Amino acid sequence: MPSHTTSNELEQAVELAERIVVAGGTALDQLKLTSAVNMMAGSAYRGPAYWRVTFKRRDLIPKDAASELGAGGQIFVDVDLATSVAKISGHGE
Amino acid sequence: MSGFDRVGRSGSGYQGAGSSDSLGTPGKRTLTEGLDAPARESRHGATTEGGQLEAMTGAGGAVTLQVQTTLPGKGQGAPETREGGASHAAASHTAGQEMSANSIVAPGGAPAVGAGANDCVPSTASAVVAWSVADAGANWRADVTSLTLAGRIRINPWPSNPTTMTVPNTPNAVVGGNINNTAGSANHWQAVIDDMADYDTAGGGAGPNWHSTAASTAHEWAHWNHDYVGDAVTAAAGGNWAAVNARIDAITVPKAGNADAAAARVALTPLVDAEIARWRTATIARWNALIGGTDTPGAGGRGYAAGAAVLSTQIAAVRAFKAAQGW
Repeated sequence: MPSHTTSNELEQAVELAERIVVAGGTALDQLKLTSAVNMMAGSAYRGPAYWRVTFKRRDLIPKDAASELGAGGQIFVDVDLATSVAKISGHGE
Repeated sequence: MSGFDRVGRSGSGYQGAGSSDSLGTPGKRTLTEGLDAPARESRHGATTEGGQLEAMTGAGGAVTLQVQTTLPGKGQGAPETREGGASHAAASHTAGQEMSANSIVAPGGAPAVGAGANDCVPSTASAVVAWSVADAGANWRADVTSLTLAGRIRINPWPSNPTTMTVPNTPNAVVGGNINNTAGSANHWQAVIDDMADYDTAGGGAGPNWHSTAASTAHEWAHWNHDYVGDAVTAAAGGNWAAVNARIDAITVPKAGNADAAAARVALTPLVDAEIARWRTATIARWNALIGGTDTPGAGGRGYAAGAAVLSTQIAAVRAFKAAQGW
């Protein structure tokens, strides 16, 4: 299977993002992937090899719409698949 | 069970209503650049709360925030929440309109405040609506006496090493502080500015290297005061508390079938519960829409706007220090 399929790219981006999150001291089972955006266009353009991956703490995500979503708890990670480098760009609050 | 506790008392007591004060829907903010500003700097409004914020704490130190809440009864004015002395009083949201002989109570209550993370989670299910039974001629009617809100705010101290060239850190833009002009250094003045300036832009957020506890504090209290109390609880787009209060106060049962206030309370309870349940559902839906839709950097949320306002004063201090040093 070619390595540039969407699923492969996304998997690589998330895996690199998870590694940097773990290196930062956060357990992965506390987090949920909430978005992965390819930065191929727009004001935040970085190039098609870049992904912006966002995790959020699971305890802030309600099981249904009858409870409140918690504000905060995100970890934002920028991933460059061309160099296989991931970097935590900031935290939500 | 609706999840609301009730504090009942019988009696009449019609008193004055408050004034209306609800916030509008937040809009997308446009970042503009000044001629002297680096490209990545945001230029938020000067309505900073920085002057109200507590002093920075040391790295890893706990922030102790004392919360005192005064809950008003009818006609006793707006609720007040005081955190740690003078900072971040909960905004007064006297949701009200003059109803016929009834009055609208303002939401009161305050979140529990702690550390360990930066987040804000209201608990509308834990809110308490107190109401009494009032004599209304041939009828008994419900009479709301208070609404006490509940929830949780946590604010984690951001590291602050004012005389050490380390990161993560809180900027201390003075001679002997933690800002330098060394190219490639994480403490270089431009790196400091850039990291704080991207706070309310996509992918930004707090840090990774430069931020402040004051900004996080402003952020979380904006969620409580403005997103929750000022919008989700009270605005027409949310729970619309004033209207709910008025509808509850208009619920009556005849004296003919209810000999006394205690009997009337039994008859009124399911009717009041239904109104409270509708308020809770609308409040939660509005909160979730606000947080889910705007509480990410660059998405126009009130929390990030409040934090960015604090950071803008710190960016200005770094810029002034850089200029004074001739860098």
